[in-house]
Amino acid sequence: MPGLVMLWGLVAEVLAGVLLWLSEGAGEEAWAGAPGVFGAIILHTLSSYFFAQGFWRILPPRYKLPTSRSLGFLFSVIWILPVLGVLGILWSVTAALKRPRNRSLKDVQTIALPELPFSPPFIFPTPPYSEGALRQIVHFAERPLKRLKAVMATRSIPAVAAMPIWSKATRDPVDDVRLLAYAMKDDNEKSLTDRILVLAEALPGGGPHMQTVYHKTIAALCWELLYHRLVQGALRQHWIQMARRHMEASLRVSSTEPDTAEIEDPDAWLLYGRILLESQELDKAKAAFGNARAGGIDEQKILPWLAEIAFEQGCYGQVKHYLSMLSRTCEKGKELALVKEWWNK
Amino acid sequence: MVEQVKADFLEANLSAARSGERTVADIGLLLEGTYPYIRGGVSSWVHQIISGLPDIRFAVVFIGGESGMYGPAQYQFPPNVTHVETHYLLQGQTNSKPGARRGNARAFEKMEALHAYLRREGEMPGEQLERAFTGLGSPEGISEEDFLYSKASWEYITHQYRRRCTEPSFINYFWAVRAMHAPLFVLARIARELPPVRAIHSISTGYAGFLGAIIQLRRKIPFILTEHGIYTKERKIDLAQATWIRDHNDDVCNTLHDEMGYIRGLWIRFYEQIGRMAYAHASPIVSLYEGNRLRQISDGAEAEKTLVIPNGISVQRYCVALEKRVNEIPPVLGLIGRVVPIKDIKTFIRTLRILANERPDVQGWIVGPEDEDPSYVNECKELVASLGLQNSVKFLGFQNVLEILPQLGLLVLTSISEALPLVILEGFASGVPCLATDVGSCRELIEGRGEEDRGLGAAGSVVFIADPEGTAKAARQLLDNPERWRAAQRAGLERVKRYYDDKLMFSSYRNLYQQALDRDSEGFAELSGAT
Amino acid sequence: MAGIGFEIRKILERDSYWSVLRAYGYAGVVSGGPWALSILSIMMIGILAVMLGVAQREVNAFQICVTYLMAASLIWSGGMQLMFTRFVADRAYAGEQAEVLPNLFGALIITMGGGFALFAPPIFWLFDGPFFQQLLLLTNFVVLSGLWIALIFLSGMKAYRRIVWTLAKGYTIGIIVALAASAWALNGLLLGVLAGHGYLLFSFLHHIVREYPGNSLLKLDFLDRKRSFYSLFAVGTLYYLAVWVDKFIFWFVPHTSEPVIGPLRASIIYDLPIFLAYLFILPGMAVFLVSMEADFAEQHERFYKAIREGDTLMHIEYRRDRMVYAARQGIYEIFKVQGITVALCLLWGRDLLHAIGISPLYIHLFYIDVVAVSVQVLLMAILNVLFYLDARREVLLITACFFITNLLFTFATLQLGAETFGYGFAASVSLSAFLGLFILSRKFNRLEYETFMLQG
Repeated sequence: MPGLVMLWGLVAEVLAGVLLWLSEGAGEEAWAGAPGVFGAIILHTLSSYFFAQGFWRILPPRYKLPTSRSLGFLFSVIWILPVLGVLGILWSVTAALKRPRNRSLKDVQTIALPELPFSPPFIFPTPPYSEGALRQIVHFAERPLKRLKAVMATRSIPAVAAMPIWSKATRDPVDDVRLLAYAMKDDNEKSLTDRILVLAEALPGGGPHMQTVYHKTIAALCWELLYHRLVQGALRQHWIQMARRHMEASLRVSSTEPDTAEIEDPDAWLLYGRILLESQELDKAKAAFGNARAGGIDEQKILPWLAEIAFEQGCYGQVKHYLSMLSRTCEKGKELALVKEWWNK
Repeated sequence: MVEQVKADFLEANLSAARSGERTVADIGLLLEGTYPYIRGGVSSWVHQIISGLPDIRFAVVFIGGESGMYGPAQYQFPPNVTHVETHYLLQGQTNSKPGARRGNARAFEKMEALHAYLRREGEMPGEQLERAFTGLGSPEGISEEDFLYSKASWEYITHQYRRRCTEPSFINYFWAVRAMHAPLFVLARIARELPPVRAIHSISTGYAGFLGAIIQLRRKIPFILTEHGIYTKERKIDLAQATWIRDHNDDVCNTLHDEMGYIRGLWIRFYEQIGRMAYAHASPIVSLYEGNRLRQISDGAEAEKTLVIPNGISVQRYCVALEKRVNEIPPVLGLIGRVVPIKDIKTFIRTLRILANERPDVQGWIVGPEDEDPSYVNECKELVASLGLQNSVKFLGFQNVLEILPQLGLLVLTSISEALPLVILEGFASGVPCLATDVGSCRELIEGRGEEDRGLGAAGSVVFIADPEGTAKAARQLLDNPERWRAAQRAGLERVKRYYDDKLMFSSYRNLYQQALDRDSEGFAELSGAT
Repeated sequence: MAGIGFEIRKILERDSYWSVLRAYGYAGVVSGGPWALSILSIMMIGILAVMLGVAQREVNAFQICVTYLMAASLIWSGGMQLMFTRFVADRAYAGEQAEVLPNLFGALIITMGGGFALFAPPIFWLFDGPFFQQLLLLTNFVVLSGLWIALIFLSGMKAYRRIVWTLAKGYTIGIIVALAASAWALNGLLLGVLAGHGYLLFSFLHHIVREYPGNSLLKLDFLDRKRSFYSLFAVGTLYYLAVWVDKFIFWFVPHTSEPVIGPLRASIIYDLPIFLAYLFILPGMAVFLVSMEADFAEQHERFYKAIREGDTLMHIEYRRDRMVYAARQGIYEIFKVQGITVALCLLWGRDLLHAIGISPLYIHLFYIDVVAVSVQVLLMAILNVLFYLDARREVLLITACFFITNLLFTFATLQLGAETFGYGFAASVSLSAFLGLFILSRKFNRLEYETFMLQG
């Protein structure tokens, strides 16, 4: 189709050229060739129209709209530059538009070496506080300002460690301390629940694969809420249930028989096991950890939880067994290290 | 006695009229972000005061952030509101295009002296410094164009930055300084253009209080300050949290420290200073309860200028609600208040989650306008959905409290900050015991203030903030125990009748205004005598 | 838009005499190329055509026609060049690369279509040649106008080898076609130039289109008041008017000129030396590209980055000093290299004129013209720095001064007599350059104040 239109354009342009040629030869008087020139202009116009139509049809789709504007542009260029316009459009518009240069090369940017900061940041020679000290200050400091500063200092520690401090500070006799602690706690919780909500809303719209991912992420975020002790009491139960529900949806298991599914995502199984352990479903938790192990998770990582399950079930021999297998070096003074030492005595 | 006061008043008004002074109103009320555009405790209090003192003419001066933040007026003005004006601090008044200018270098020198004074806590600037300060926005002082565009201003800002700022980012410092001072020029213009009033009354410190101070300095008219909450304190909490201020230290330091960034500190000091300005020029300084009075004193108010006038309500009005009550205790927890973060509606919802496990018949109603913070309203509704409470928690929107109160079994207030919430008094007058967090004067209201008051017994329970477990437990203790509930109802009724009747409040304010207007006419007589 | 400067500076970093020579060679061709190559190729076509037996009268007419076409198209498109350069830079900064292509087509169609509509009537009215000749003149004008718009992308491109190669091909095509069609005399020569410039236009367009894929074919957003700067349009137009106004005066004052073809006149005494002199700005242009478009551009970027990313005031000032140093250094280097060029011209100018067969009567005019065009390179560098600092009002003032003084001084030299010819242009350009330097130093002194306090 475009070929035919262009052919018509070509014919009209050639005719225009011939007419112009003839009228040039017609005579030396100024206006002798006028009718010929006039005819040539009309033929050129016709030809420009055909060419514009033809080129418009072979444009990549996104350049076609709005139709009148794109057509108008092509037509004007072809009309004001006889012959040359057609060649130009053909080469530098239609041909070039179809072969955009590879952007990946352009995306590489050369960056000059960054400079050092002009003035050095202030670095404390020794940390003014430790986590434990903050707790002590919030509990026992006499001066409200000191307690306030302690709460302020929790800005730079993870929520899980700050939570006990905040909880204590929201019961402070002084308004300012309470409010600050509340605001910090609330911010943390809010950022997590916000993300959960966004994902939960996006859930129905996603494809099956995306849904699995969403469920898993939601479960992980719920778990974070729990892990950071941002929720307590009955609410804790609620969030555990929610985490479990989403984890199960992600792993496509019904809560009655967790071990029939194929093990594609051992990390998810690990998290699922922890959620089950938290909701005191010990056998299922054990099975889930088993799946995680089968899926390729390092056994060393799972052992402490297996020990915990064994402890809850009252199989103390097994606890000892699991903990003795634990070769991971634990940070001294941390809970796990203490437990391990006690059982391996 | 009321008749006597009224007669005095007419007398005063007449004398003012005789002295030939043309005023648009007796009292100019300076209101920051509240009446008449935002509903809430402070706004209803303002409306109550205006309606309760019909023989005093009021001018309402509203100061807001940006015009887009407020809808139409939420209150019908009583006829004694004789003048209304609305201003927005964040909308620059000058539409002038930036143009290079030299600026008044001497005025900036005076400003340096003023800043030096402000930095030293406790001291108050002398007379000529105050003049530098009232010259703000006028051609002889620092005009807004001078502040924004002049070379002198630039020199001053960079000089201060070099000398003091420990924050590395100059652009942050520069914009903080601009954002901080731009509203002051709007205030200076308001102070200049406000038609004559005989006294001014600001209902908070902050920008409104600062405006009061400027007007007091310029016009030498009495300036009364009433604080419901403590403005400076609330601002500090906001600022300590604000994410729009970036602390440089946080990026490079991973150790625990309580150092605040310079700019954060700058903002906090700014609000402290304008609060102090208001305290210095206001008299008297009124608070709602003893706790706040002490706080004002520690923030720089002179103790002898402070006094407490508690809020009051019209007890008779709530008799209707009391009569409508059915005999048994309805298993309904009501939270009456705007749906905003400071009310911590979420803790209320979480409390309901816990209660629903134990007593599935318990309902929770959230009664209050939802237009102030729509995103928070959404968060709350989503929390209800995610906790599966659709059947037991209801958002009723703004309602007539007289209709709602009789249907409640407990009034719950989970706020993280309050002053003296009228809704507790309204609940008491309608026979609803109250469960409130230990903020503001809630403990005084529920457990009593003095020896005698405390003798009336507890009219409910006080709980910790952000503590759904404790709140749920306290709610059950009252709901499951009719004896205790009825004792609490009796105590509440008696307390509100005895100590929180609005007649007491009206007469206190009538006296305050009376004294102020007397002082004004004296001042006027002195002035006219001197000339 | 300083891509090519950085690329060329990379060659310099290889640190050998050969690389220095190559770098400045490329820089010279890229920055001064279209200017100098046009002049060279037209001279060449003229010489070769005469050898092929085309009448000297026809060749003269051809050279005058091309000169007029150049002047008219530069003045006509000058405003759009600047305005559109700014538009493209803003879009690139805003990350809206896809906006570039449709607006480029918009700018082209307005410049070319508008030029066609505006110049068609006078050409058809005033020229009494055949229709084909009139058409050739008109088409040449339209293509040139478009070419100047397309060339603004040149300094933003990084592929300098391709640019040089394309320029070489374009002018070769022009010469070959002109000589092949020399049988048609003037028309044939015009056809050759048209072919050359047409090739260049569409070849650059081809590269640009492939480089900046868009989302539609045609947009006119660059005309939007909020997004563009009409003061830049005025600056561009005024600048080219200023550059050409003395020539026009000499062409149309009867005792310095003679009619050549149709309404076009030429001034033999004035034209030859000045066009010859323009060939000697190449060293300055090369230095300009490397020092301004690379060194200064980099320092400028760092200065604004220091502001944007929240550096200390002290560091911002340090960056400002570095930027001022880079600008000063750039201007100084241009001064140096053009100074040497002028000295060499003074030494060997007479021999040069003799060698290409130009009467030694022109020598004084040639000397003063070399000085003037050298100062013009300086002026361009100063204006460029001011563009970087977004000093639109100041630039407008300088170009207005350039235009008015050139107009006045040239008329004055006409009164004063033949020995002062050329001094008008030289004095005007020097005065404007001094004014520019003064404004620039003032601007630099209050740069942070203006940047912070007077924005928006």
